Amino acid sequence: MAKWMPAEKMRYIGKDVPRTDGPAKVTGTAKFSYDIILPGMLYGKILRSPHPHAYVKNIDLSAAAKLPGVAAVLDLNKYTVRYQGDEIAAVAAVSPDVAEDACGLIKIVYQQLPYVVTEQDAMKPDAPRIAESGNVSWQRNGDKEKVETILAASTHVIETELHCQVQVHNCLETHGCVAVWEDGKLKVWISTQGVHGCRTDFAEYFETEEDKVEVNCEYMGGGFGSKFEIGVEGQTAARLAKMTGKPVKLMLSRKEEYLSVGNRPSVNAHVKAGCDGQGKITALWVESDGTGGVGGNAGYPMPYIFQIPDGAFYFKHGHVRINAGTARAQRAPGHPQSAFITDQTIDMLAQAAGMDPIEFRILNDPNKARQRQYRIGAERIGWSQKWNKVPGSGKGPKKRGIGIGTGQWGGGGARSTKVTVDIFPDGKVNVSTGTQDLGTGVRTLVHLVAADTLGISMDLVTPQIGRSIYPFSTASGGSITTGSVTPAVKNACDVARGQFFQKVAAALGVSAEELTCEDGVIFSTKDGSKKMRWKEACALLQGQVLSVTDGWVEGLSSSGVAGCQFCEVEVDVETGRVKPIKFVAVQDFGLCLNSLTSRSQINGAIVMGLSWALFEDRTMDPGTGTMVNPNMENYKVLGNMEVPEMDVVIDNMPERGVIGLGEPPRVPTAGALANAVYNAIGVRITRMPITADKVLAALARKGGE
Amino acid sequence: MSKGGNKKAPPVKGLDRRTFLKGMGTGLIGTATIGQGILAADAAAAQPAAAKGENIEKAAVTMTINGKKYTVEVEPREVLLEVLREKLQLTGAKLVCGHGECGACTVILNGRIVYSCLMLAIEADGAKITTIEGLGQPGNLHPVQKKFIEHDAYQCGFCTPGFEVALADLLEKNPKPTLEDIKRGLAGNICRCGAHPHIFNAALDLAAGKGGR
Repeated sequence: MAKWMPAEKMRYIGKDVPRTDGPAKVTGTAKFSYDIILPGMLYGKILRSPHPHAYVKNIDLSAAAKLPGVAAVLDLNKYTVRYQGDEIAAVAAVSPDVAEDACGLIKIVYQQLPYVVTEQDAMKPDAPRIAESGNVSWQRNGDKEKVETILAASTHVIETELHCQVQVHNCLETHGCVAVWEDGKLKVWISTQGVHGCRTDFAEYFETEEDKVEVNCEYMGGGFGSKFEIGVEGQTAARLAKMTGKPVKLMLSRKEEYLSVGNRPSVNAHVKAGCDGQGKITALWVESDGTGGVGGNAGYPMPYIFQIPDGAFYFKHGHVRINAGTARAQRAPGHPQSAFITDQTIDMLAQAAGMDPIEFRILNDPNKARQRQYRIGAERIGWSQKWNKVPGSGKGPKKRGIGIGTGQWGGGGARSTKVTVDIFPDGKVNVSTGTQDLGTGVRTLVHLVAADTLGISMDLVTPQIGRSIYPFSTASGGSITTGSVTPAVKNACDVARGQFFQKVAAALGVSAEELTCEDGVIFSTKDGSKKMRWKEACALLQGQVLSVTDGWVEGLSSSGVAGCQFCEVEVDVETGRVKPIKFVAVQDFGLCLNSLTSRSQINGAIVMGLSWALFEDRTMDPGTGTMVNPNMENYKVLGNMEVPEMDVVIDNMPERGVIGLGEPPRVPTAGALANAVYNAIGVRITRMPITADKVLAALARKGGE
Repeated sequence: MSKGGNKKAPPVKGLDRRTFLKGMGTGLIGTATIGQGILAADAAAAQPAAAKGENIEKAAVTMTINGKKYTVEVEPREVLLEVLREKLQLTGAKLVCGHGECGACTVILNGRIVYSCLMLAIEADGAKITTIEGLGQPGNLHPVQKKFIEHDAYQCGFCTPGFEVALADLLEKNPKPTLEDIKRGLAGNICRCGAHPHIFNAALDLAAGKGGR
């Protein structure tokens, strides 16, 4: 099995390496799909339903088609619209303004239908049925009665309700693309997490060969799980381009982004749990529901992380359909919900058992890495000094508390990943693969892994990604990109180096097996005087390019990571304001390839988790069936003022190989915050987002007890 | 708050100016149509009074952008951001919210930072504008740009031009901001990747007189 080079041969790996594309990103010259401008380009716009549920009785495109500047109008043949934002028609015009004018001229006669937009309403027996299969599909696990018997016999039992709200992805670059047909071939610049997947999707949609489709995404403004598919917007842009024979840019508006292209499902959980006198968990009972919008699926893993004895777990979960946009994968799908519910349940049990929550976790968490991480994090946050033994006992109106949250994730790598390495006679090396950089820094990882594998300066290497003309690379989901791409890069570089060394060995009069390359000098490990600079050696290629394409190999990556986060918070009991003060994150992700971008990812995951815990909330209005807050003014996203001090501990485990980091640190944050709020004020906020009104209401209830 | 202020042009809350000027209820997208009454109306009834398409009368606007003079024909309803991006191909500034909520479209106009998504291009006639492209270029980076690279003060990079322009302006007016000043000064900018801690580090380095390397 392949192995990573020893640490002393890693000139770049594991260090703080600034991004390869830094100069492009900081100067505004990085071209996102949204930035592509082609000669004669038209602007596409989709007309969407203003109603949550309706029949489209009639659609009249004639007035729109006649508007000066309109090049094409398109009926998407939708007979039933099932949420506000469902696609109905589209136009292409000379400017975004004219396209919007044209949408306003499309005459539609709707017949409105009954709708539901909350889980509670959708589950009522007399609720309007919004899907053939019914509004709720149930998932069951375990024996309810048996678990209740175990709970009844447990020394300590807790019971609570816990709620996670719907979170919208809110990628800053909206979904969409620029599409153009040239000589029967489709060329697309699309904001996507899967360049090659999009090629397949476009080819299938237009019933053409994959080599007639070229997909590009050199830069993209965030995906977070919502950008795997070409979507109706991608199909529509390419159709409009075909109809008009011109390039069409179709990027969604912010409002469309809120309504139509994904979200994280909600969970409303009723939880009972027990433990024995020593603090060992005896049983877990969870009944819950959640909505994934009109598509339904609202799954989340349960039980989570902590050991529940065999036969002592009961779970019933309803996947509820409502008339709202369908959920999509979002950064660690399900896990943050599981952690939010589990971490507070664990804290409540620890309190019932009179135990320190950290000791309680170590007793019940079978993961050895996390057992160690709990101690590291507790030390860093100052657990022994700062944790209030009596929650809410701090003096004054601004009360501080600390809390802990946990997380796990898989990772892994795709065997299908391929990389091409081209060594040029002038010493330059191109390393190409069709992966995409969502902002995770994978372009830089391709760059630095190639340089370290070849033993040359990064200055000589050019990473090339984000185009379907490059070798196959898998979509970026499930935190598998690093585990897919970097082993393939290392292997392809190893193979290319081996072939190159054959030529160098002949020139030096040694065997290829004894050659190595360090700091740009190729030399014999047996006789150090037999050496040649990389650039001189490349001249031996005599004008030809040494090109190697090879793929992923086993031994360089693995899966399964552990992490935990500690939060210090300040809650003003007079205003209800919750202010995160500090986060400590301890995270394992195997071999750390770039400590600088890894810290960025962990910081960013905490910010996104805090934003969910404190502010974000897709609010549906039962009176109109529409979203109340489809804009950044009213759908709050965490800003600078609430960003706490960050202390990131990279729990480096190089012996495990690389494992992806995008999702794992997104998991523990909200639970850590919620537990810290409880520790600060002595009353538990069970429903996110943890806003000032909920804090004040909870304090009032506590005061009234 | 920095001396001299780092305030942006006051946004028209909850409604982008372009939509406002075109008249409420233009199309079905991008309008604030909440309420059963409006929703129940036939789309045809909610049409703009004058949907003229491209036949709308245009005006010539002259602007000095990044030291270069441009004259461009614009529709009165076109916002500055759209003209910078789609007509002049200065695509560094980004459209994210269109409502002055996120700061991704921030540019410096006559010495003041503005949200270019909230300003009509015709209002910028005669203005002197600096966009991210004018702040510095690859090989000739502005100190803010150097520090952003050094501290990895971005991830996807989409909000980055807006943050950088806002920070450059903040430092121009208050060369030694505290962390609190920096947080407040950049409070008009949203980052979804969560690069804030590294943005603060980049800004604090500059405040401490540590120029980009």
